[in-house]
Formats: sequence, structure tokens, C-alpha cells
Amino acid sequence: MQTFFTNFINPHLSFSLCRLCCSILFFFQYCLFSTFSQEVYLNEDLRNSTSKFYQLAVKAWPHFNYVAPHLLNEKKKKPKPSRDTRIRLGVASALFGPSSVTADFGETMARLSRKIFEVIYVDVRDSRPLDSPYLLKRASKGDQVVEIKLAYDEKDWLDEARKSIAALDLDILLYLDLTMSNKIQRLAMSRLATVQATSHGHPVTSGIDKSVMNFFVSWGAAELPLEEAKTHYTEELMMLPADSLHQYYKPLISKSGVSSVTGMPFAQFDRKVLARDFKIPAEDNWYLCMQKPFKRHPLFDDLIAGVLANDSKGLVLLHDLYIESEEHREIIHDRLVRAGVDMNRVHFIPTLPHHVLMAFYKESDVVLDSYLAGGCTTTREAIEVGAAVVTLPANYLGGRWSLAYFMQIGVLDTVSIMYWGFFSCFLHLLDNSDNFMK
Amino acid sequence: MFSSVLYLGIQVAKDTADYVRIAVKFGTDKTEQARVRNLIKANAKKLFHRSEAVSAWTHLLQEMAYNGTELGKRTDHSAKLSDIKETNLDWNGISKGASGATIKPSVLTGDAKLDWEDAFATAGYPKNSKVDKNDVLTCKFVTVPLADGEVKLAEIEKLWATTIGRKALIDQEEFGLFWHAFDALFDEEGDDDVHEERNSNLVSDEL
Repeated sequence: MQTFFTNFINPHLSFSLCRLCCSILFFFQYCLFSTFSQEVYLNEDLRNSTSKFYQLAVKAWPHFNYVAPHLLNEKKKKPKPSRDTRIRLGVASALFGPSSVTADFGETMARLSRKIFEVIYVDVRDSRPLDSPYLLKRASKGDQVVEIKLAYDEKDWLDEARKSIAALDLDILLYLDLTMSNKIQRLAMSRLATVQATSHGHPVTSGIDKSVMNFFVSWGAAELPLEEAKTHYTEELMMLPADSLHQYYKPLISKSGVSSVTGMPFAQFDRKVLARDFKIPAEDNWYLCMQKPFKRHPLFDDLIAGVLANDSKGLVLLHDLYIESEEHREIIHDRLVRAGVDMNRVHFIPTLPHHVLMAFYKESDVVLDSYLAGGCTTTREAIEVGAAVVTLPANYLGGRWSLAYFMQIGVLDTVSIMYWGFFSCFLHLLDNSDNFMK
Repeated sequence: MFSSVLYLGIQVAKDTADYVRIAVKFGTDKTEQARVRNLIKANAKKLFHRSEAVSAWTHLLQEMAYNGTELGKRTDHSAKLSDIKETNLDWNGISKGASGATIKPSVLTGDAKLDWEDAFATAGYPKNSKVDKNDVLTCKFVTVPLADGEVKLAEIEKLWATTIGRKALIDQEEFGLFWHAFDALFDEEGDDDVHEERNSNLVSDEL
């Protein structure tokens, strides 16, 4: 853990620790970190780590083990839905606010046929202060939204949450993400619906036993071949087809070059303007990585150092801290120096409005995909403006989105796959989709 | 076994060196950079409006609901697009191929299929033959919105005339044409803003 703090910056964990210090009353909540923090082990056996984490949690707090009464009583047990009835689908998340989770799943869930599914959104309120625009909209379209409100006493909260969800008598409870909120993580240790599944809102296994969390829904194109990929999950792995997109996305840039997020055009932000406004030498080669700092694994530092060592005119532009912290700034600086990075050639860019971010993608010479945790939304955005995103696929799902997107668009020039990669791509396609080869 | 060995190679220096090599190549060779950027931009559209994703999710969730945890006992459950052809429909039920090109539906699927069966149930005909216009127009998918005032009879007649013409007996494919056109009358507007709520200034993680 000490290594973790000194070598890897993770504001989420630090924030959890701050809360731990502040709260003794709710100790059982704050001792249970989100497994999000375990991403430092992306180059280790993450399934083993998250599984142990789960086992420890249910041993320390046995009340996390729970099965809703209606699932225990054979007489009360809900029969499997038939094709004549609608499937009651609960869609649960703690990130229904504007987030990458709604950006990823929002359109797809909204477009599921309401003749086949009765979609009930389960809004687990955690740190989001405002109502979710997405859920307000879904409610206005006739979908049911069940809000799991915050409670002062954590045990009361868990009991109430379980009761509310069990009362929905769901055929499927689908968690869009499980690891970015420790509230939903605890909730997911309960068995509340006939079938329970989680998905790639956060692309790592929950670690929860598959008798409780039955399935992980992933995308064949972004996974290793099935037999390999299965070993990454404690859940049963279900894969969406490798030969087509896994979500319904809409472009974020209009044909006239306007960001649909901010409603602003970005053509006026050419290289000269960006260089002037952000004090970056315009004539150098820009290597941009706008992944949030917590995604920059120490292994990625070596790649930055390598780029700068091999391009004397290279400048690396990195996302700055979004929560100011002298301590974190020092850690990042020291880490990069240790990796041999010339810090005079590193510029930190603050969080940008969407249209300016698009301008940076467009004007940079190369967009560096982070490694081992790569980009998903960010890669799609960069591809949209025709940026040359360079990626090195990792083993886990979270480090393979860019490869999958490039396979979908049929451009593999920027994917670092080398000798092993050609074989792996071949085996992958063979395993996960016969049709892709056609 | 073979693939395991290959994948273990991911941490070796040669891979990271390759990443650096490719990045520097595109950073310094502007001609090569322009070529790959044009290639990426020209193909970027393949990532968007891919309705088969909705079909794939529909299929997968149906499998889960109908088969429950038994599904996990199957040896291979990596879905393939060929498995889900039957549910490969977009929001309006128009079938799409992997390339995103619209394909005329020759076999009804999903809701359209259920309504086609409903038309037969109404008429009492044997399956896979033709149905009468009256049988179609007395199906629930027509009568319910009609009764609710969401659509007028004149609109339905006009739609029939434009999609079917003067024919009174229609086959499955013609039914599909009418069904999709009818369904499109009730297309939801404004789903475009799902993404608009995304605000890059938020702390939320980008995956």
C-alpha cells in the first residue's frame, strides 16, 4: 500500500482515505475501498486481487451476504419470463449523472425495445449532488426510475436499498458499473434479482462470487480470446459480438464542426491559438495524452520518456491535476523524472471544455493512448477528429478499447502489436468471431 | 497455450519500444501522419449510429432472462453477429449489416414479427401466407394508437397507400414495410441530447 501511495497517484483512494479519517461512525463503509483503487494491479492478477477483496469484505462484514426473501422461497419465486411477457430489466448505477457511463450505455439502454423490456432505472445516489438529466429524460419517456437515497446510517441505507430493489421483482438486474462507487459495490454483494450482471462501465471484474453476480457483459472485440478473457472475471463472461460495435454511439461533433457537448465550434482554435493560449511552442511535435492523471500507470511514464528521447523536437502534453494537490504534483513530477523524462518538454493542460479538447486532438501530431488503462471515450473522440492515436493493447479489457475501435474502423496503422500482436489479433478474431474474418 | 505464451509477451520491452517507435514515426513524418489521419477520419463514421449494438444487447439480455444462470453452463457464449441476425434490428426495426448499410428486411423479427403473428391470430389464417388489409388494421399495434388519438385513420390510409399501394392482401415483407413505416410515426424525438449532458469539465472518469 505504501508503494501504491508513493508511486501511483489515485485521487479516488486518497479521497477515500480522507473520509476514513473523518468518520469513525461509518467505519465499515470507509474501510471498504472501491476496487477502483486496485487498478494499480493491472499488470498482475486482478481477478485474484478483487476476489480476495470480496471474500475479505464478506468475512469482515457478514451482513453483506444477503439473498432477497423472494428468491429463497420456491413458492414466491418468479417464473422465468416467456416471450409473451416483457422482461423486467433493472439498470443500476451510481453514475447516472453526466459521466462516461451514461455516454457509453445511455443511448443503447434508451433504445432497447419497450415492447420486449420494461426498463427500470435504479439510481443509487452516492456523491452526485444534482438530479441526473439522463434519468429525468428517461422518466419523461415513461421509464420507471427508482432512487436509492442516501441515509445517515449505512446499515439502514443498505437494508432500504435491498428492500426497494427486491420489491421490483426484476428478471435481470444489470449494474452498468460496479467499482466506482463503494455504495453500489456493497449493494452488489446481495442477491436481489433472478439474474444479476455487471458490465464495462468500469472495465474490471467485480470480484464477487458468480453465484451472486452471475455475468459480466463485455465486448468480444476488446477482449482477448474467450479462454484467456474468461480468466479475468469472477463472473461468467458474456461477450457482445466482436464484429460489430457494442454500444450505440452518436458523434459528438456535428458536420459543421460544432461540439454537441458545449455547442461551440472549435475550428478557431488552430495550433497558433492553442500554442499562444497554453504557452506551448507551436513548431514542436505535440504528443498529447488527455487521460486523467489516475489513468497514467507508472509503466506509461517509460513510454513518455521513450518518445521524448527519440524525438528531439517532441513535447508531451499531459492532463493536469483536476483537484489541486501539491503532494500529488510532487509525486507526478518525481515519477516522471525517475523514468528519465525531460520535464522541460512536458506541459500540463488543465481540464478543457469539450470543443477546446477536440481542437487539441485535431492539432496535436500524435495522441498517446495511456497504458495499461487505455482510453475508451477519449479514443472515440480523438478518432472523430481524425487524430493519430497510438495505442499499445494491454491484457485487460480497460487497456484494449482503442485496439477494438481501430479494428472496427479497419485502421491498424497506429496499433503497436508487433509480432505477438499479429498472432493475438488473429487468434482473437478466430475465437471471438468467425464472421469478422469474412 | 500458444496464445497464453504470446500474451505474456505484453510487458517485454520490445512492445513498449514498438509503441515509442510508432508514436515517433507519426510525430516526425508529417506525410505519414497526414495519411493515417485521413484514413482514420474517413473511417470514423463506422463507430456511430450502429444499431446492431442495440440488437446485440437485446439478444444477450433475452438469453439471460430466458435461460437464467443455466446460460453460464454453456461452453461457448461469446455472441456472434450471425447468432443475432434474428434480432438485428435498429430502433425502427430496420435491419442493418455490420457495415451499417440498411438492408431490406425479408424476414420479420422482434416486435414486427409479434405483430405479424397478431395479424394472423386476428384472421385465423395459417402461418406464412398473406394477410388482408383489414386484419392488419385491426391489430393492436394499429388500433391502440388510433384509439389514443396518436394517429388518424386518414394517416394510416395514406401510409398504406405509400408503402403497399392498392393491394389488399400482403405478404410478410410487405407487412414489414408497412410496420416499419407505421412505427416510424412514433419515433421519439430529442434523444440526441443524451450525449449533450456530458460535460468534460466534470471529474467523472473517462474510460
